[in-house]
Amino acid sequence: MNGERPLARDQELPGVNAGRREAGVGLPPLLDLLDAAVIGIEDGRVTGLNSAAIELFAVHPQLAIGRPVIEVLRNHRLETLADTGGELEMPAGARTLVARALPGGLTRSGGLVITDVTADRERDRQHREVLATLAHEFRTPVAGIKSLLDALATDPPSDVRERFVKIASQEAERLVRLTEDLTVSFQTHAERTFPLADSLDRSINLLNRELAERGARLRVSGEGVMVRCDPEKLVQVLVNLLQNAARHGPPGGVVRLAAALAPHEALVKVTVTDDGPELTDYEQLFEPHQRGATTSPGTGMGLAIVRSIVKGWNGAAWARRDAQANAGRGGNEFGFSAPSPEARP
Amino acid sequence: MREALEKDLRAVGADFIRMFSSCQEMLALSSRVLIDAQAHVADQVRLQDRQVDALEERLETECLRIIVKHQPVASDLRYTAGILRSLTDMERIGDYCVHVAEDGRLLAQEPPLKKYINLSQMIARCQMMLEVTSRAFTERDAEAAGQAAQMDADIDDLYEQTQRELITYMLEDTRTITKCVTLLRVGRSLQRIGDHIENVSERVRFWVTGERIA
Repeated sequence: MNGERPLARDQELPGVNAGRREAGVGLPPLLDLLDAAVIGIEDGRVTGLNSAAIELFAVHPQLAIGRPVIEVLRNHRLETLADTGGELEMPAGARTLVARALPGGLTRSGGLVITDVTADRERDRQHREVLATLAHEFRTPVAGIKSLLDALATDPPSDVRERFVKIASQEAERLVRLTEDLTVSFQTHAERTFPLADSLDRSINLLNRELAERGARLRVSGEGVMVRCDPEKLVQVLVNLLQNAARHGPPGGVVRLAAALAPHEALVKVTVTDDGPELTDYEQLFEPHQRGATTSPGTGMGLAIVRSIVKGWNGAAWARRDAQANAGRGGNEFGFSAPSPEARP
Repeated sequence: MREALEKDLRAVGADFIRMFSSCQEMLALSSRVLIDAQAHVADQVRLQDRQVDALEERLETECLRIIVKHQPVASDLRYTAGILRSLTDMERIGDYCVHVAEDGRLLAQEPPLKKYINLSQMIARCQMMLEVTSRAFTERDAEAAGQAAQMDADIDDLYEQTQRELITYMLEDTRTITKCVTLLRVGRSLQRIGDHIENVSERVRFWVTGERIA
């Protein structure tokens, strides 16, 4: 094997060179416009690759020509498919590919068309997860309301009726809250530049009663900083974080909201810190249905929604123990980043 | 003579890549059993393992035949010996994938203890290591082989984290011990897969550069 294949030391690892497409080789240049990878094959050897194929298989275009299919595609399923024809969906490392063989097989002129459907399948999986979550969340209040209506139809005594109506109303409230969560998650994008204080004031107005009931004291700094995102979604993020801090921090505790511009990253970082005791697993709280050790009301979706919204504007959401908070007594910090107007091109 | 040697070397190389590809597929299938609780997929992993075993046997015979018939030297000898020595590693990777799938099948019978975040990451790192090592082999890329070997440290770290986390679970609630022990075994299997891929990637680097790692 000496000398036949020159070294390809200048190549980067798969994925590292994403975004920098090399021109295809051995195929019409028009095929470089396709997202799908196209590989020309004749007599079991590669005769051409378009730009997407070079990127997908991270191969050196010139060195790939004339080599056996298995050496270039490094996948025994694709090699077999090129020979037998047909179509298949298959895992390839961490990716999912859909491959279709063009007529010809390994012995005559033919080829493969391969589409990377990893993102599509991940989206399908997320949709299924969302639907399962919704079905689960809606099932309980709906079943409760139905049972209560059935009971009311039997004309119970007035005190029982009042109690049933009250419970049904609470369950309906829960449905309203869930629907509101959904509305915010699926609203169309309405990005604009505004001071954080705009969304913060609205959030505090919504939470005033709950903060007062818990005796929580809110201390705010840096609210004048400018952000660029959807103000409705920012309200939802702030409401969820402040509500969590009020509910899960000690009664009468202090909730601190601090916002600051991180100029080098063109981001605004916002943190909400409470005086609560240290938690066991901060990252897990962002998973759907994770409620930590609490008896407070909630669907366990609050932080999952926060992360989902924040990811939507390419920000990050985190939680950690801040040992310095609360005059050195420590506190739980829940934070997120939002785009700064300085990030605009 | 040289042409015959080239042909034989190319043929064992192709089978070696097929072995890589089979192991990658087995790992992806094991992940479906463990992470997505698709218990029925475990049978496919076992089936695929037989193909890996068959490839190991065939390649062993072929490599020995090449050594006897052609008496290769220098790069060709490193190439042939590297493949021959890596066969056991690849075969063990297949076996550990079967272990992960079998343990995944056990775990799928009951609600999960938690979301397997660390184990998912270990699987993803192993997949990446396999992909990069396979590419390093076909492209003769020593640098990529070195980077693949370094990824093993991440897998070891994740395994340690998993161990600590599962021990905490067991101490807090003894009812979780059975599940935790199974999950520890899965972590151990993935950690060993990482070690075996590291061995292979180091041999690929040795083949390309002729230099041993200090």
